[in-house]
Amino acid sequence: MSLVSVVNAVKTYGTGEAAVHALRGVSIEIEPAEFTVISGPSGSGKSTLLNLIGCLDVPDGGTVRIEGRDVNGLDGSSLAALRAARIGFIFQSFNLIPVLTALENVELALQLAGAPAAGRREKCAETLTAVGLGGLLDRRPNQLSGGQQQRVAVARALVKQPALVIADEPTANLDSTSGTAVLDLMRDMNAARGVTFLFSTHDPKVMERARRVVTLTDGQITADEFRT
Amino acid sequence: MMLRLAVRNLLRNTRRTVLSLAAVVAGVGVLVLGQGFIGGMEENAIRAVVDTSTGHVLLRPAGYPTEGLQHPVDDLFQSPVLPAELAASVEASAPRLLFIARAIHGPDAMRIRAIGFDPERDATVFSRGTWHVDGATPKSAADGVLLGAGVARNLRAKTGDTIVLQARTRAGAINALELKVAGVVATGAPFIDQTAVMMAMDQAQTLVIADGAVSHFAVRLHDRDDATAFVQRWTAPAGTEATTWIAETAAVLRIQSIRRAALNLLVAALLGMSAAGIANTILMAAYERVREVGTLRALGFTRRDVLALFVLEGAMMGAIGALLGAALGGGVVYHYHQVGIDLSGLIEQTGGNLPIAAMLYTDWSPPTVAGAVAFGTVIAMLASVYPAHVASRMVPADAVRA
Repeated sequence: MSLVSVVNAVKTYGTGEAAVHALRGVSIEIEPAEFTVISGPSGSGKSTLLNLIGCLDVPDGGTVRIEGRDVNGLDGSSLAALRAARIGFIFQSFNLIPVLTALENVELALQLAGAPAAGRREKCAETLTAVGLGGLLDRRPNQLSGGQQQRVAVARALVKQPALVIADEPTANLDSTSGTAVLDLMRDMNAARGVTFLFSTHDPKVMERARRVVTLTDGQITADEFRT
Repeated sequence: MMLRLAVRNLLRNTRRTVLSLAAVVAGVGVLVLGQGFIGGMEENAIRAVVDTSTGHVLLRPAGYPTEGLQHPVDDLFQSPVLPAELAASVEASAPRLLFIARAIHGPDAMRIRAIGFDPERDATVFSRGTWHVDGATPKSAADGVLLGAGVARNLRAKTGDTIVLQARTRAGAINALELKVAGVVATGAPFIDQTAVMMAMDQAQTLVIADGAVSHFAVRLHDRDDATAFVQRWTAPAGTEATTWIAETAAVLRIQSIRRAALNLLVAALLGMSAAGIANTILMAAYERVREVGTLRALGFTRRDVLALFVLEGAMMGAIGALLGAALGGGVVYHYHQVGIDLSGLIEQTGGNLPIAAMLYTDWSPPTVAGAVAFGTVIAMLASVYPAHVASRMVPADAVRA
């Protein structure tokens, strides 16, 4: 069973002449432990596809299955529970909660995933230490560099041991050095822990490291390349 | 974590939070303060009547005039003996003989209210806690009379002086006596201070030639709230009527209820403004934190969680503001409940025509304060529901990239 199975997914925004067909019958299977990039020009439907796979949105047509579970029939609470427990997110703008410390940001994700309070903070600290932020647990996002913030976001995504991590342009707001370091970190996590990563990016450095590159054009998959 | 998030979100824009809080502080503060003062004024007005002229139940001649300086002596009656079945609810009772007299001291003269009282029983019905007597309170005819402070001032009389009291007897003749001033009393009650000359009952009955009759018979109950039931069960002697402190203070209390309604309108306006302020603050926060809302949704927050977070922020703002307002308003009310406010200057300025006691003690009511805090909190919570709803309806897929 594929980790992610998208079959003939359709998503349209707006109606009538103003309708925008973001996805026009996209089908894709993603297996566990993949390190896959969705590439394509702006407006090609990358973010829309990630939204559907990340259960942030539901398709207008077709099906999206996560670990065999059809998300179309799930209500808002069930989708939220699925996101909390099985999917980690890394965003282009880091999206940390500014009023929480690095440790609290990570702990929030673990708490929402349903982890018991006992040992939760220790686990979060270990995860932050694993991404190289062991000495910065009590820093708030505005006291961290962009690279450090993205590492916190990586820790937040990984701490709950999700089935899938979705990273939307994770290096777009980082300088070259920080971007490379964050990419290496995610690659290491993929290799060491078997975490499945699904990226959307324009960044050649990300694509270089991918083992699979799926190209979207005008809402349709136009290439699906596996690399060794 | 939800609580921690709410607290820190409130602190992230301190100035805005403080401004929104200020409106709640003002609303709840005015509510507590106003209720305390109006409650105190009500009690003050009741005390002014009960402690000086009526007690809790008053027996007087039927049709007795209740306005102006009028105390006819045509229909006096003998002090009744209270029925045994009512005795249990009675703390004390005392007769009085009131009549109008002319007081003369040298070239000065004025129309006064003469009050003959039972030296043994009067103080058990009519409180003398606020009395300040220069000289002595007369215990018998031989001791002379006690002048109200305003009367003494108008007559330019002092303790030890001699005045002449001229009054109409029960039979209609004019009688006059030369009497020594035993003391001058300041009670804080205009009923006594401004118009009264008090004397022992035997002296009063001698002047009016009352043959042991009285014009008033006052009863103090263990519980003043029993007054209506007491009057219903008491068969008043023929030619008399029994009235309660409630009936005697009805006019004053009606004015107080109008004041209370006006206060409630003011508080409603203030809390309405504070609700608008809080709604605006939470709405601004919701629009400023679109990406955070999206992130929280991506992490697993449900719509209801987002709604709860923003409502919690509004409720906390309301609760803090309400607590501060209650602390400020309650502090003032409690202080004046303890020490009181001296209104004697005000009474003096109005010539003693205000139906109030000289000391105003505000009404300290912890349930009222707690209710005001709860009210302020609930108003704030309700005000934050709409902006919280706006935040909860944000589409997570759009919000995370806002």
